[in-house]
Order: sequence, then C-alpha cells, then structure tokens
Amino acid sequence: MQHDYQLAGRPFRLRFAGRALADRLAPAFGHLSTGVAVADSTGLGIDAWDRLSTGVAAPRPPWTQADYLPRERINGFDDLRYDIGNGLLSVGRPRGGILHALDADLIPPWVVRMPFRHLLGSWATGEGLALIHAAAVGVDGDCLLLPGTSGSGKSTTALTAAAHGLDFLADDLCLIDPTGPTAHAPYALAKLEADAFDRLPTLRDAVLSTTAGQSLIAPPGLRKSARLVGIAVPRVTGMSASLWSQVTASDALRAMAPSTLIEGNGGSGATMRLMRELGETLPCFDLALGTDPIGVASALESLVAECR
Amino acid sequence: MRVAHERVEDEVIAINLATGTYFSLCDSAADAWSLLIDGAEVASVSAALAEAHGLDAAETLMDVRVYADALVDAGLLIEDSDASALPVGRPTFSGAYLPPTIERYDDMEELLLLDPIHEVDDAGWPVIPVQPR
Repeated sequence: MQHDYQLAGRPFRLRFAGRALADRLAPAFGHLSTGVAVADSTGLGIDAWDRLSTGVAAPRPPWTQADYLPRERINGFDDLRYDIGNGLLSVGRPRGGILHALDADLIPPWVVRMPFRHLLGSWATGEGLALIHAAAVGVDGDCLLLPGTSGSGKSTTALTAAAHGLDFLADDLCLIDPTGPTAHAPYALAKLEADAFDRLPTLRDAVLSTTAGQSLIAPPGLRKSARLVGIAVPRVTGMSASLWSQVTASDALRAMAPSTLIEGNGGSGATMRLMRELGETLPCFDLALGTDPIGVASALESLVAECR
Repeated sequence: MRVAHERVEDEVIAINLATGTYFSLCDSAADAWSLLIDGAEVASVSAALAEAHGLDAAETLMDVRVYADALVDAGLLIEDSDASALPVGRPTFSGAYLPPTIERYDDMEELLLLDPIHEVDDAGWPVIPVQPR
C-alpha cells in the first residue's frame, strides 16, 4: 500500500507491505496527504512491514547481545534504532529508511502518534531542516515554538491552545525549516493525560483512543505550517495566572538542544547550529504556565502578537 | 558524533551525547573552550586569557589546566599531543576574569538511565508472544 504526502514542501512516500501496519501508522500523516503520487528520487521514502501479517521476518542481526545500548541504539550501527520491547527496528538510509515491526498490534501509542521519528529526523538533517523536540502553536499563520523535555508541559499547553481556538502544529516534535523560519507539523495526532480533560472538556470529542490513562487526540485547529515568530520555554508553576518574560538565546538553546539531540530523533551538530541560530534571531521567552487554561491560551496569543 | 556544542555570545552549551550530560561554559570558560577546540595547547590558551584580561600568564595557567582536565573528565575533550602553541582565535569575553568553570546538568542523563534494555533471546529478535488473538 502506497501513501503519498508532502512534508515541508518535499515529496514523501510511505509504502506498507499490507494493511495491518498501514492502519496503525498512516493516520499520523493524514494531514499531509496529496491524494496523488508526488514522490520522486529526491523525496523522502519509507518502507515498512510487519512480521506477523506478512510472515516475513527480519534477517538475523549481525550484532551480539553485548551491543545493545540505551535509547534503542546498537553499538556500531549508527543508522539503526531497535526498540526491543515493542519489536520495532528502523534502519536509516539516504532520504528515508525501513521500519520492521514484529506485530502491528504491539506498536505502542506513542509510536502510533509519532511514527518513524528517527527516520524523519535523519532525513530532516540531510535536508537542512531540524526535527526539534518542541510543541508549536500559533495564530493566523504565525507560531511559537515551545521546547522542553518530556513532562515539561508541552503537550498539554499545545492542546490547551488548540481547545481555545489557536492553531496547533505539534505537541512534541516539530519540523523546522530555517528559511522563514517556518514550522511544519510532521504529525496529525497528539496525546492528553486523563486528568487534563477536566480543564479541557471540549477535547473529549477529539479522542481517538485511550490506553493506560493517556488519550490519542485528533487536535482541533491543526495547521500544516506557519511562520515561526518566537520561542517560549514552558514551565509548570501551579500558580493561577500565566506569565511570560524575555530570556536569552542561551536559555532557549538549553531548553531545545539537550532533549532534541539526546532523545535520539536523528539530530546532529547541524541541528544544534540551527537551534542556536533560531535562538539568536527570534525573541525568546520564559512561559510560566498557570492553572487557568483560558489564561494559558491568552498568554500564548499575546506572545504571538508580541513577536510579530 | 559524541559531543555537540554551540556558542551563544559568552556561553557555550556542550552536550555529551553518550552520557546525556550537558554543560554550560560561561565567560572565560567559553573563551577557553573556543581556543581549546581550535587546537590550542593549555599554555597558549592561558597566555591568551592573561593578555586579554591584563593578568600574568602564571595566574591563569593553573586555572586553564584544571579546566582542561575537567573537560577531559566530562568526556568533552580528548588530549592531543599535536595541540598548537599558538591559539587560532582570541578571547572575546570583555568582563572581569574569573577562573573558567563547568556548570553541569544531569537531568537528561537520568532520563537515559531510565531507558530499559530488555532481555532478548539468542536469535537477537524478540519472539512473537503466543497468546489468543
């Protein structure tokens, strides 16, 4: 099964050996669909198959058990990621790569939400783009990047914004083109913790599935791309009001770079340079998140206006 | 790539990608880092810092030695017997000199250590679980 997309103005083709894997992983890219074949030899191409439905196993691995490293890495195989617990092997190749899944039904929700993230990140680096560990939200075609580590409040902030009428581009990984600069939404899905629905009740209608207290959401206000006008580093305060203040490019780089590069989404030294340049050219803010969702959305809207 | 680093004004952010530890190197530390990674030897870096801040080179030599050792211990630098006696660039930090130090952040390292490495069988790939479907 072949799916043709366009991502950051570039052709992107996904090919699945069978429906089982396509049904799990293709929905994350539904917003990028072109409906017609657009891929060429210069585009991003990813091929994927699962062993259970096709009966085709991956070849015997050439490494030993001693070569397994943290963060899905294999010693001596830099282009490869192996999520052993979930039976997922991805192999980077020029302009794309291959994914092998043991069983499509074993693929965890976070992979359904953000498939092929390592392959997308490596491809982005080769294209002079960067897949940054950040959420992104905006107003009328201008957006803010919200970088931070896991648990820093990115997803909830992005969905709070979306629930209150702002544009949603990403809740965890955002594709950045330094030209503009421009933010692109690589994925059409987001996640929300169960306790957040009390504050964001309208998002109950956007739930696609719920696993272990975490819901997969089709975010309202999804926008494919927007001009990037500023960087806001979110932090949860427990106070009622949301406040923001200007910070330095160093502060922004410290929030963006470690998690982007260490969490293994295919970044490189060039990615770090791109992040530094973003911090130096865009206004950067500390965003102290309050508990009032309307206040969060209002602060984000004000920040976009401030950056224009 | 084991280390990623970028300088923003008078601060260098350096990340050891193998350990997940990242570092902030400010002011004279940023200058010393920039000179060291350009291949200058410790003595010439300390001389450059001393000249830039109107100090005696003997005052800065021990500071830079301690700093360079700390960078090596952090996995950010490796010793190079071919280091240049002349620094390629010049210090740019114009504030008051303080001995260069490393500010270390371990929060991402903890995240790395939380990552489980699961058991695998001799075939290398996990087996498909036998269960009713």
